[in-house]
Amino acid sequence: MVKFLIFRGERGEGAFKEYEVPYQEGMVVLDGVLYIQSRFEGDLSVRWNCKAAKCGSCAAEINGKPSLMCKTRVEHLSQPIKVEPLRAYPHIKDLVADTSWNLRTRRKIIKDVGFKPRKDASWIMKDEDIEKGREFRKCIECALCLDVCHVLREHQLFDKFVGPAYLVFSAYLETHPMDSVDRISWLKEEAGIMYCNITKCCTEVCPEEIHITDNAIIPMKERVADRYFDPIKMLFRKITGK
Amino acid sequence: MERVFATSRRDIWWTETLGSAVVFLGVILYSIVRALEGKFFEWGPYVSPLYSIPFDTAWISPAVFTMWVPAGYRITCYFCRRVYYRSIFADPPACAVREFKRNYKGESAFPYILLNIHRYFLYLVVIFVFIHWGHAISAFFRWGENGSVKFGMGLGSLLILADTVLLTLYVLSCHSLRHILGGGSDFYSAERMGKIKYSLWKFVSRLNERHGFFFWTSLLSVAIADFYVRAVSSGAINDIRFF
Repeated sequence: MVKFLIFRGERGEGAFKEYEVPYQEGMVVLDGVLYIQSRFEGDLSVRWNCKAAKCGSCAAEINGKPSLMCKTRVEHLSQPIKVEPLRAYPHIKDLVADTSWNLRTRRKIIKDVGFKPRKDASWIMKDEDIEKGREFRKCIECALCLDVCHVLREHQLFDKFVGPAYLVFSAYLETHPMDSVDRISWLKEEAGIMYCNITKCCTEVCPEEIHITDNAIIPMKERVADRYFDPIKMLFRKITGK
Repeated sequence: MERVFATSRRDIWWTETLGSAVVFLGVILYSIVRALEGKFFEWGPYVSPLYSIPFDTAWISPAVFTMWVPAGYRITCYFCRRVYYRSIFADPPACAVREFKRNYKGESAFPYILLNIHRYFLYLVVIFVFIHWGHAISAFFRWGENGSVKFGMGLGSLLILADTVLLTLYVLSCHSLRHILGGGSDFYSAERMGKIKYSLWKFVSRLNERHGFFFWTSLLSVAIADFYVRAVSSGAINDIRFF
């Protein structure tokens, strides 16, 4: 048997309730949660979809670590397995948190600094031109990185910082060879990239193993530094007008 | 309201935080003490890596004039920031662990906004890498009494060489270097010198995956090499010569 502690409650109020589920080889946390839902608690709220670690719907905190329930094998966990909703977000019910901020943020990025193709280059691109973006395209927007990011989780700066997932999205747009939009000042002023203090928790929890901090956030910070924090480059631009 | 350091994590998360703090602060403290000591930094062919330019001054340690460069490079280093934000400032102490409530501004305001000068320390530290290679090579040669030069190797030669190699890898894997050499480009096939930029970006990116490893090992190797040079120079031990 596998022991689970599942958070039950609404709008942040509630408590952990213990359940026992029969163990099956290869069992993941989502199997246990769905078993509990089908056998003991018909009204247990849980968000899930593909059960293949590709949709990102079943993000939750398992033994305190933001993880995908469908990708976390129970034999790797100490029992009772504690499952709770993503804590950075407002709680709705049981294991479901209100992640609608994610969609609003993505829409806003597309509206404000979305992709606009350049007209002076061909769409025929070489491998080296799309290599950077290939990693960023793996993002499934599961929100694990957003949940673990202390800027959002602890300091709740949702209005000032777009968070790791959307910095990955921005890095994808920014590094696209056909992109023509200048989003450096947006990264600094609107996306709040300087709020990130490089503690790399986002990278640690990413189920797609994207090197979020090293390959998306730091390169974008370097581009911001080029424009705003490099006195020699600033002087050079002033002199040459470039 | 949950208390600071509260978490549902079951692993011993604080070991990494505490271990990093002990090693990091230990090396900083040792380096400051050694830099202020102002002696026992040279012996035979060996020069301590903490004393990159070992000139003689009667009134102040020569390390004071040079150590701010590698120290500044490390303090502004992206990986090092992760280390001290977690281990020293507990901001956060570890992932998904509660931290102190504060008016958080990250690196968007003073003083942390100054960390953006990392690239300038990079330019300076590259000069030091060449100086260290000079010391590493000369650590394998001894001057004879009649002015002849003799190839030889002691434990100090190997420690200084290892430190130089690790420092070189630490600098070559730098995020800022990657950006400067080619990371700032997006359309390599259409840009001037795009192929070279792409190759350099790719090369540094590969090393960059081990940047944290090179940070820690080069930090320790500096202290170990200096400790050995001090021990030999002060007469505490005899140099272990291989040939």
